[in-house]
Amino acid sequence: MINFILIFNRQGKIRLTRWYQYMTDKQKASLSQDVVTQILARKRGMCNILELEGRREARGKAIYKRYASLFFCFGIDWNDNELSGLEVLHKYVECLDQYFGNVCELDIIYNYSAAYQVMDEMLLGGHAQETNKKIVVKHCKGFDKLEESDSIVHNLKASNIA
Amino acid sequence: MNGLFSHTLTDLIRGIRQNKKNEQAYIAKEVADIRLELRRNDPDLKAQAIAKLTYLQMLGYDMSWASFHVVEVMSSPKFLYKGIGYLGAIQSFNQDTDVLMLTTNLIKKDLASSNASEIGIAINGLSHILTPDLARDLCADLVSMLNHSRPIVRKKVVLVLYKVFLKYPEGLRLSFSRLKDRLEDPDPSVVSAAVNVVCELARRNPKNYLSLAPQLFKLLTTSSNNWMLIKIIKLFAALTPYEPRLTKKLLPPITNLIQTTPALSLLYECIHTVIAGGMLATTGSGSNAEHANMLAATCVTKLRTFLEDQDQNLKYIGLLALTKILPTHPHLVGEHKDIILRCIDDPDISIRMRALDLIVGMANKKNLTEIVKRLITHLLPANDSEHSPINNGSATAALMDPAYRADIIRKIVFICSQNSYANVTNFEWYLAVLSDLTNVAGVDVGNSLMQQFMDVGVRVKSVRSYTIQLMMRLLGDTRLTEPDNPENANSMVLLAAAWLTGEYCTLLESPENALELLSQKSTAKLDPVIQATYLQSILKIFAFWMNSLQYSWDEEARQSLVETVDTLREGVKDLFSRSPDLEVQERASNVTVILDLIAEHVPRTPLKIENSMSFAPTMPKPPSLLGSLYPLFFNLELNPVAPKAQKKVPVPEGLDLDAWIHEPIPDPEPESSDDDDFLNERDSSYGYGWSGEGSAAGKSKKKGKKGRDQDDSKEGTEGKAKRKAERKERQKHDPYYIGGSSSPKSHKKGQDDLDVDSIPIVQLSMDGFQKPIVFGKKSKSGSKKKGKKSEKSRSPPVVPVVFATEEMPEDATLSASDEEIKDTKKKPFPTATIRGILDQDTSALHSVDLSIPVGEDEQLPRARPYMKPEEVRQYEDDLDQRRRLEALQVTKDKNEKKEKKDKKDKKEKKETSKSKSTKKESAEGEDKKKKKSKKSEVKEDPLIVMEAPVTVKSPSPAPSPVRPRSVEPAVEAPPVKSKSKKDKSESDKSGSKSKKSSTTKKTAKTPVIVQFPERSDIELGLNDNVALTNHVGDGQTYDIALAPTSLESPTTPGNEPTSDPVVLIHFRIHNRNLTQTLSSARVALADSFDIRLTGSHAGQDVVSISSSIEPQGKADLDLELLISGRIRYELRVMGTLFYMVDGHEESMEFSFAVPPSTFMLAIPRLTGADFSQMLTEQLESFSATGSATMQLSSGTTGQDEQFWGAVEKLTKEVTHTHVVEVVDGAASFFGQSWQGYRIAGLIKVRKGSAEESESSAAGGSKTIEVEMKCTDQSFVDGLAQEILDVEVF
Repeated sequence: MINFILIFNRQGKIRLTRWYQYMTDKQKASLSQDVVTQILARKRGMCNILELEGRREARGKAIYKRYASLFFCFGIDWNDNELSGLEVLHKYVECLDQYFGNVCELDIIYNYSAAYQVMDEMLLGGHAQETNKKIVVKHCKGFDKLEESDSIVHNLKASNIA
Repeated sequence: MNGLFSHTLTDLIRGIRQNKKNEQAYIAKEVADIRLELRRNDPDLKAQAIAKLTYLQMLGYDMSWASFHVVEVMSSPKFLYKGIGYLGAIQSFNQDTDVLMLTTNLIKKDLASSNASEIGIAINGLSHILTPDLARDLCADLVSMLNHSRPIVRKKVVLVLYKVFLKYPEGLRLSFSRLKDRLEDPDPSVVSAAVNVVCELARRNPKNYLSLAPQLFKLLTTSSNNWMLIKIIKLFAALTPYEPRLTKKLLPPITNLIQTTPALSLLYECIHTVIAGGMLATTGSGSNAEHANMLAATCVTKLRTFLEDQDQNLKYIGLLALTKILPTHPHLVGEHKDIILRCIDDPDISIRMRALDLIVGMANKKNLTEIVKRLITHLLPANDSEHSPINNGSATAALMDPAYRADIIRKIVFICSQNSYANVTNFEWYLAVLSDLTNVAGVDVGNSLMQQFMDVGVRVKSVRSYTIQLMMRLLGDTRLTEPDNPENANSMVLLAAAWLTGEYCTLLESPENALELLSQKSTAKLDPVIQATYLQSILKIFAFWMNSLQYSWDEEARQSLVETVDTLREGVKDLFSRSPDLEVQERASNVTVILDLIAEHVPRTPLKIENSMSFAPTMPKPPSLLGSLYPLFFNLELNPVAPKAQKKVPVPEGLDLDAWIHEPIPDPEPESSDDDDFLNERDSSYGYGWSGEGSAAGKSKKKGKKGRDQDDSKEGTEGKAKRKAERKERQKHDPYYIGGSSSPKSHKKGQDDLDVDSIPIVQLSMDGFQKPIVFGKKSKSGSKKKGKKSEKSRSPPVVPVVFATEEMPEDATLSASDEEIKDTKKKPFPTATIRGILDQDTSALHSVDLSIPVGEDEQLPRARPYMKPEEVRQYEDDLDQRRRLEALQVTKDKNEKKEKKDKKDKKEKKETSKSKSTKKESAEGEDKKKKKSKKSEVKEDPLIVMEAPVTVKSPSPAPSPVRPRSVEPAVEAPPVKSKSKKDKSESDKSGSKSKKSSTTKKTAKTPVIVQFPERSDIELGLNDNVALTNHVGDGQTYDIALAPTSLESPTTPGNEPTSDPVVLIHFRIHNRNLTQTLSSARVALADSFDIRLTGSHAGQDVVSISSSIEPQGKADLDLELLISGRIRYELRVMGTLFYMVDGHEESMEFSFAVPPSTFMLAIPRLTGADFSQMLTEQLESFSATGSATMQLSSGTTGQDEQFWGAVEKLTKEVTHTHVVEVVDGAASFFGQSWQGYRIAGLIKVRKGSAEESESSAAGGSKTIEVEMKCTDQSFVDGLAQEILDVEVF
């Protein structure tokens, strides 16, 4: 299963984090720091799998991929299938792309909750729940509609009372 | 909103980006603003503040302080805000977040939502914030949702259940059968989710899931979803070890997949499964084995293509898979040694590490030297470009990584030393490698190198002399003795060097040299452990050397003895005597005393050469002193202990290790008090056998003096015996304790009759010592060694390896030789088993057994209702107490502690709640009791009610603009329907109260519908075709009102069970479509725990409207709803309206709130005196408070008028209460709800604070404050919210 998700840019600035396992804030900070530095130090031609510090089974692995200026990184269990993990990661980026329409770093910065929404539609508790891109994006757009109508109803109600 | 604070999230992000230079300061200011926003009672601002905080949290700022506000936003009815709240919770909550206990009902409600998206965010949020309590309370709800109509909900529920099981393992047993059904769900994504969960569960405890094999197999052969196939195959990999027959069944489809699938991830998973599932290791013969071998060959060939691929990822996983296949098919992997060795030099550390692992497994006698050479090149300095394989910048950095270097060295040591050095053919080479490693390591691996040196030195007799030479070199190596960087210098090898030279000083070419090296100045800086060894070695070497002097005793020898003794004495004194380390100091004084003794007896005068009768001058007889130290060290040879020795120790006759030496002490009585528990648990952490004593101590502490005396006397007899037995038991298990019974025996043997022959293996090779040894000449040190030495020097550098004999215990059973052969099987490279931070504790899931069917008594727990205020307080007290206890307590086993304490807390809680039970037991209990008391009051004292018509009088002479609400009918209400109102605290004391005082306090509750002003239609939903309004019907008075039946029920005597109010709602459906007719319209209410249909539609799921609705037409519908839940803010009715239009079905979801004020009753007006008396006497029961503030507009109209208008609106229209008293600028009001909750409140005008008045131009800004006291917290909270929601002006 996926233990954590980190999205950061080339400067190492973190854009999105999600932890599927309980960790203290301190552990989170040190682990993400660690992962980010190690990934940034890696060259383009290297493999997309990083064995996390300690390099023993207990620690797990990080798989990552760079898209434009952003690095997307999943922390997975030691015995997980790295390739399928990378496929899920790619799928997530595809979903983001379709949702935002040619996604860029700024989209994720300013609409981080939407990026989380796409994530939550794809993954739940560290497991893939929906792998169909269309369905994921459809649900997320559905959310937006709901939020809009929500505010409409609220406004109507308020004006009614007034 | 106030423009000052309304920074949106986008503003914040933009601000952070614009203030890159002083980001910290900017954010600090923003956080301060957020704090202000949260303090205001505006839901919009709150949600916005939480959204901003969540963003900041991502940047590393703390938001745990706002967790309560997060829950508030989570409970918002607006979907947008709910989402924000849940996101905040996901990102910031952890297991210890206190407010999590408040979320149970909130999540329960959201789970019951009719809106799949709302359920979605609730489930997603829940998956992150689950605590054991939440898991237990919500498990039943979630399991029931496994059959939800929407697949999107089902798949989420399936996934979240795994998380629930982790926190609440009992739930797995109870719901597994229903979870299993999801494997056959019609929706593929639900099936995939279920496979995911089962896979995850099976990873922990595969046996439980063998029964699923047929279903999974069917999926494997039919599904085309690669990701799911991967999971299924992974799952089978976990199952096959427990059911070998599966292998046969699985091989065809998997082989097929391997040969055909284009998806590399699936291919890899198949290969991985084939390997990990043990499918290649078929021990059977014939076609089966052949088939397996063919498959293995296919796999390895496929993996080779991975390694050759340009894609580094494939290279990585290829190596990983090869590592797994290596133990069973080393020859297949061996064929690809070339390409694997190439991977060792890959610039990518991930790949390199995997290649190294593989190489370690591949090492054998033939390739060991090559591999080790390859590995050592990785340690060479980077500038040495000829040797270093990688000159790439980042790779060099990786090469310098201490962890990596340490790992390489560990691997070298491992592959050489595994299986008692089975792969090493040339030990001199190995020793040279070790000494090279000492110098190039660059990391602290001194300990492992030291052990290797000592091990080889002791074990391998044939290279001992070489070892000693090498050790001498190390002792003189200034890189070790005077290192620039002491941390990485590996000075620990000096310990080995000192010890070996001391132990095998017979092999020293020049003991004097050795002594000099051991007492050199730099020694004082070394680690005390090394210094201690140095001292011991000095004495050993000196003893040996002095002893050897007697064979060539002459003047020269005498002089050198005197010199050596003196320099040594001084050296030891200087270097070691003042060491702060005790061990060193003690040994130093020992050595000094011995040397002093010798110095005293050394002949100081030159030897006279006595001329005897013979021609040759004979040497004087050497003093006996010279040999005096020798027996201290050199009587027995040290041999390594055989690995099997421990096992071979024969069990003495009559010793039954399984029998109880003492019957186990029964567990301490369960009724032991908390203090006892505390002590027990601390003591038990010391290990087994102590708990008995612990409890005894605890008890005696509690008892009085008398009790203690008794205890002591008891202990005097039983206790001592018990303790003795326990001690014996402990000692038996202590490997370092020499048993009392056996030690005298062995001593005796050692002292009295040292029968050399009876020691079976030790060979005392005394031959070397019986002959005089001429000091300095190697050849004398034994014929055997001499032979080897010369042989070595002649040419072939490889010394035939001679191992030292291994020690075995006396009476060893010398039978199981075959056992040993078995044991020499390759052991894998040891991997650290430390629990990583990413590891979950899933041990509880292991103990779940799914093979036993679920019994009838096993049921999912029912959720607990909200905690009552006093429970919350109690909880906080407990928490506080727990924290204090934790601070005091010094125990080792934290888990145990917590468990016990939880138990204790519960116990305490129970006790306190019991003690309070006279006051309040639980929400329901209280209500019932109240009703009962009311009823009994009515029955017993009907007269009082009759006699107490409360007159309505305006107590205040001040001209009040408030028209008292017409409650005349109440006074005239028939006495049967009127009901004496009585507080429960009063009822407790009722016996002691005078009749008169109680009568005055009684007010009559009337079941009469009060005429409220009309409100306009409230729109519940709107789409292209339909408008759904909550219609203010003809002649009806209020949009949502208590049903008449409900109004009567509380006063109907003998109708006890009707305890829930019924609310009447009128719907009107407008057909907005201009042309189409709506047909078969029906309303389905969402399942809810709080709200049920009753009345004419009781028990129905769907209420349909019989007639179709013409274009622009309307249809009315009345619903009666039974409200069973707690009355609170945003108690919502949710549902869906389905209808047919133009031949197809459409639907519209709607939801609206049932405001708490719906339940307010019209009651006769209280007089001011009664009101104040009630408040003073029953203040305790009015424990709940709520407040709301609103701004008076600073317009031109008189603010007084505004205020009185507000008072009227708030009391009459909003809260349905009545004004009791008015004074200048304030009014008190009182009301009572159907449930008997009483509300007493005060509305007052407050002059704006200086800060606020500054900001407003008029300077006269005022606020209206409403403060309420109530007998129920959630009700008053709801009411306060309702007041805030209403626009008063």
